Amino acid sequence: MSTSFAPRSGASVPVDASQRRIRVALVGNPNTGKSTLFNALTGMRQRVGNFAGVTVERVEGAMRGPNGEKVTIVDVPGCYALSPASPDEEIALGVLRGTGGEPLPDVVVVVADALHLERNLYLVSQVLELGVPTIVALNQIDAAADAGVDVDAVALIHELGTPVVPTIATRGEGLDVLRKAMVSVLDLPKPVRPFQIADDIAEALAPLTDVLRAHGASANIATHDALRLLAVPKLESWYGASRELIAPMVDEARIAVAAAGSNPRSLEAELRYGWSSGVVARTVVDRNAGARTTSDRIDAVVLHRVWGPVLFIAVMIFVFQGIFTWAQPAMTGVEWSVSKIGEAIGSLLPAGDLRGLLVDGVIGGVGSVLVFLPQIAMLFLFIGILEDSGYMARAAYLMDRLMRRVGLHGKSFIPMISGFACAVPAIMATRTIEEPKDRLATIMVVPLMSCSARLPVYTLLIGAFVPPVAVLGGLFNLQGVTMLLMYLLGTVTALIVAAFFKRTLLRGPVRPMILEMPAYRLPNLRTLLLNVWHRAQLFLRRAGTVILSCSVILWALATYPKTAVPNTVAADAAHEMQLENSALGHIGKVIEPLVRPLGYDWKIGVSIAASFAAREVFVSTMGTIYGVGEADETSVALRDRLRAEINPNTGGLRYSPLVALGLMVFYVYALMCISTVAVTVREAGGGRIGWRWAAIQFGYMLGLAYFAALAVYQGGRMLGYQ
Amino acid sequence: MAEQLIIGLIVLAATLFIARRSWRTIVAARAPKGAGCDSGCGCAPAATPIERSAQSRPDQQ
Repeated sequence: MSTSFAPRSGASVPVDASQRRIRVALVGNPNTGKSTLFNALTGMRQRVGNFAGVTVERVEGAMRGPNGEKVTIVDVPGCYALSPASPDEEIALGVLRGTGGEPLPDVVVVVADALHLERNLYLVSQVLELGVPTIVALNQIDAAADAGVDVDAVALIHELGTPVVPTIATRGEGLDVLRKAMVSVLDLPKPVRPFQIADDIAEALAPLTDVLRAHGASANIATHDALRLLAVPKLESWYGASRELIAPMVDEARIAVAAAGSNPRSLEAELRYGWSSGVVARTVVDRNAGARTTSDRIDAVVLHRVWGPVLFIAVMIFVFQGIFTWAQPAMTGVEWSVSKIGEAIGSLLPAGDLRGLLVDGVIGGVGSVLVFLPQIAMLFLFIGILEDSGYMARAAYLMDRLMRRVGLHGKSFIPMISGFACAVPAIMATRTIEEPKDRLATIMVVPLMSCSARLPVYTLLIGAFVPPVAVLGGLFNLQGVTMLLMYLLGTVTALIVAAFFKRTLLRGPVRPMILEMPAYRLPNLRTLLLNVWHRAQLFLRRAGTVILSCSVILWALATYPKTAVPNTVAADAAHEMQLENSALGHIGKVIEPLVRPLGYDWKIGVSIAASFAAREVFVSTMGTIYGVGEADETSVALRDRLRAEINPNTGGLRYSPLVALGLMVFYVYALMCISTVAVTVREAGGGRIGWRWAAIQFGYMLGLAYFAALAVYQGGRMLGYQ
Repeated sequence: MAEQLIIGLIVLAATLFIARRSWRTIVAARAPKGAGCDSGCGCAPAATPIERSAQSRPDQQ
């Protein structure tokens, strides 16, 4: 494995500037604004948020340098030091050290938070030792100035011996200087360790550093790694040398360092923090040292033992009430537009199967899902506000006490909240969790959090079967409260299931949580709207691909083979006969015995089966089923059709609020998303182990869904509901 | 007849699309940890012209 940290040969060779390629790694502590800077430099829209652990994978983007150079920028997960404690930090280290097939960077930009410079300099000191041309982007200087902290950037350049560029990534300030520095830094002398090591310590480390140098490390790297190895409790192989060779040398170095009067375990931290506190004393003026900040004052309420949880619950109620109530006018508008488009196409085309495919299959299927776009946008707007304001980390802190009871800590709650958007990135966000068993337990329960794909199912059923009456003294609407209850059900079940895993298959100690509390800030409107727009685009793309394709297939299954219906039969009965004798009807009849105990008919059965492709397909399938063969092509909202559907056997209504409730509970629990299965396989270890955990996850969730829906329906009937 | 042919082709295209997407999702399960997820999952960053011109690792495709 390579241990050379010299820039790539092509990087500093003077050639035609437009042909020159420069690879830049963007590193830094979590939540310093790396991804915001990355987006500002590359024009990309990588996810950003005001809490640690937003970025959990490496992402590449490109930009042109000041002279037309082709600059590739690699954004990596945040890390506090080059000693990886969690999978996301390993990715960052891999980029910096060129491991795992990763090319070495030509330039490293360390994004440092100007407000917390002392802690950020720890990583800076480690990066400088790598010997790669380094720039320090002193980010968020506006926030630092607002807090009364002034950083003397020129003095800092002299202290570090490397370029320092003040930036405000959110406003794009300082980026031109940074772009120029990315090129000019290649002509500067390579950086070196910024602090001195006492002679007796250097002497104690010498045998170990000699071995490391013999295996290809430069002098700086050898000392850097020797210091790190002293602190590593469980020694593994070092890049170029085996554990057997290194372990005795490390033990000897520890004894020698102890003999020199230092603690070998804490030596690195003492040296680096000793240096960084000196640098800060010489370069930073804190005009409000010791004073309470605005964030401190807000936290006095938000993190209060009593008011904190009350506020958290109130925020959640507000969010779900808002999603249900405020999106309604826009939903009505989309619904009206879809129905008009259906009518227009229906009137343009002659009667026949092609018209049926377009109106019943495509418009009926995709249109019934598109109606939920305003709610999806509203959900992501609220999630964006929570993330950008800094509340997300507070929610994790508040939940820590509860999470510890189930065997996890508050850090697991951040991926769980992210699961409200989509389980796939939420499962990837578990990379910030250091303890493998905690991480796996979190992965296993994240899909229980109701993702945005469940929203159309809940909304359809709530809109059809839950009356919009005021509850709790007129403060809330029953529909919004029902929606909140579905989300709560998933969350509470996730905690119970996590406790089960942590007491059985994934038993292990609960470690204390160390979580950085970001400063509160007003969410950036542009970032919020861009995020909502991006999510809306993804939803529309999904509707135009997966849901469209499923709708077409299901329309064909519901239309063929054709049934000859006598003219004397009424239109509704003819529609029913066609459906029952179609391929979909036959498939449905096979599924029906399985779902009959839950109160479902074959139509719901096939819709559930089809929604294994994507949960929203449940809605589009129902839309297609209730559209196929309709005599009247004027579109009636799907929820109205469900509400009015008559059971031909009894003459009564086919669907009841009890059936709808059972169905919603089924969707709270069922893991009907192949993307989630795939990401679980990968994040749970890959290969056979990954598939095993994915199978356990899929199996327990499907079982839970079935038996919970069964209990709701049969229990409700026993209590006298229908 | 022509109408049936058009419908047949549309249904075939839809079936092939779903089959291909399912296959790609399963293959994504074997991708290295550093890689992102499939574009259809709903979490991929939005593409921009600059991004498309960026050099990407083959395992991220």
